[in-house]
Amino acid sequence: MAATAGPSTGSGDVKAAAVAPKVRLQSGDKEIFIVDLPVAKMSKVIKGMIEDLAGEEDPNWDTLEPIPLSNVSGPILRKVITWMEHHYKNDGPEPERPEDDLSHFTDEISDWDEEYIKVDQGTLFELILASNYLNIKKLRTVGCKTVANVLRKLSVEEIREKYNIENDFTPEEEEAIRKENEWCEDQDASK
Amino acid sequence: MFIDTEEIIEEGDSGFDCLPLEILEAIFQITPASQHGNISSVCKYWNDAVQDPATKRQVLVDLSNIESAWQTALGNSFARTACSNSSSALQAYGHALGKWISQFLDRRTRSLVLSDGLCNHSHIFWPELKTVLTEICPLLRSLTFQNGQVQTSVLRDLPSSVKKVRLDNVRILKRHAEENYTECVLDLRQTASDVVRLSTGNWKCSTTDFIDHHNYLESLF
Repeated sequence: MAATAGPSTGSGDVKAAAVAPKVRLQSGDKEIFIVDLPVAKMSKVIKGMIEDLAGEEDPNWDTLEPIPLSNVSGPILRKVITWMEHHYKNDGPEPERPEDDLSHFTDEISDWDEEYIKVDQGTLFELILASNYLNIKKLRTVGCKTVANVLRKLSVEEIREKYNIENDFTPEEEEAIRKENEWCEDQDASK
Repeated sequence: MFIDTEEIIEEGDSGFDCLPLEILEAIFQITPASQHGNISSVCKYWNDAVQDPATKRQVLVDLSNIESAWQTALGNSFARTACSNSSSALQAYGHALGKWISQFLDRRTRSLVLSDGLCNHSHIFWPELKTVLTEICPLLRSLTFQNGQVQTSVLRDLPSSVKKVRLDNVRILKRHAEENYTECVLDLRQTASDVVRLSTGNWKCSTTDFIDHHNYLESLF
């Protein structure tokens, strides 16, 4: 989970330019999205790919080939771009944070994000996976928190049922784990 | 580790098995540690994720249900004793609380969030709790107090390994005399400056971000 905080090149140029250059992103199912460069760079992975493709020189953005994001489907990429555009507009580029900066840990989910993340479970998991793959930490945290908020309200059986998870413990193993966690469960039982 | 889009949508309510370990860990880190017992009982994969050292690096302890921990540890008479402000009872509480929290921590824990249930007696049980934290988590680097009340004396007396302290929606109390507290800080999230300053007897602190421990203490005291 290392945050590879690359040098933030180019952000100054972007501000100076009258019109932000645009890049094309290509989803796994070959859909093309045209996105403002600074917005796209909110993904550390896209940022890295752009830097690789564009090289050191200021490239001709119009002829730059689309950035292939084969692990992300069109509908999910569209949703991710919506998130990046909103947060770029409102919060600016995501600040570089050291790996052990855990401030995201206790941040509350904003009202906008709360609305944004009201999606079916499959989409939620895909957004988490996409934000993980694209290295967009804040979006990943929003997704993980949403799941955590559900988990904290459920019993073991409810979790298994909701997420269709098979209990693969032997009765002995289950008993051992239950014993180990007895004290925690006592606390929870009185809630 | 990526599942085809359509597959997930078709299958509907499943999909946890497609999440890689690092994401499970990220989810479990922001789930209160008291829930980890439940989580590890779900299946082997989840149990492994909870036991994984990476999960233990960041721990969130929700103290909102701590009253039942007092009662478990010290018996029902404790509530009465606590009201009478008996130091020895509160020290015993600190010890019990430390023991309770310690089950969620290990040597690799670098970040701890103490959330809710922080009361205005915190300064009395803190020394015991601090001892436990110092022993169990030599690498503890950042400490967050979230939702509740904390005494200035607690903030003065953090484990030496702690470099960053974060106060999130916490009221800081300064003790003027026995049982006489002044609330010094209101909701920290309402302002967004990283300045800590003193104004006419009340401490004002306004930041939402981590405060460098030493600078913070210098300016506060």
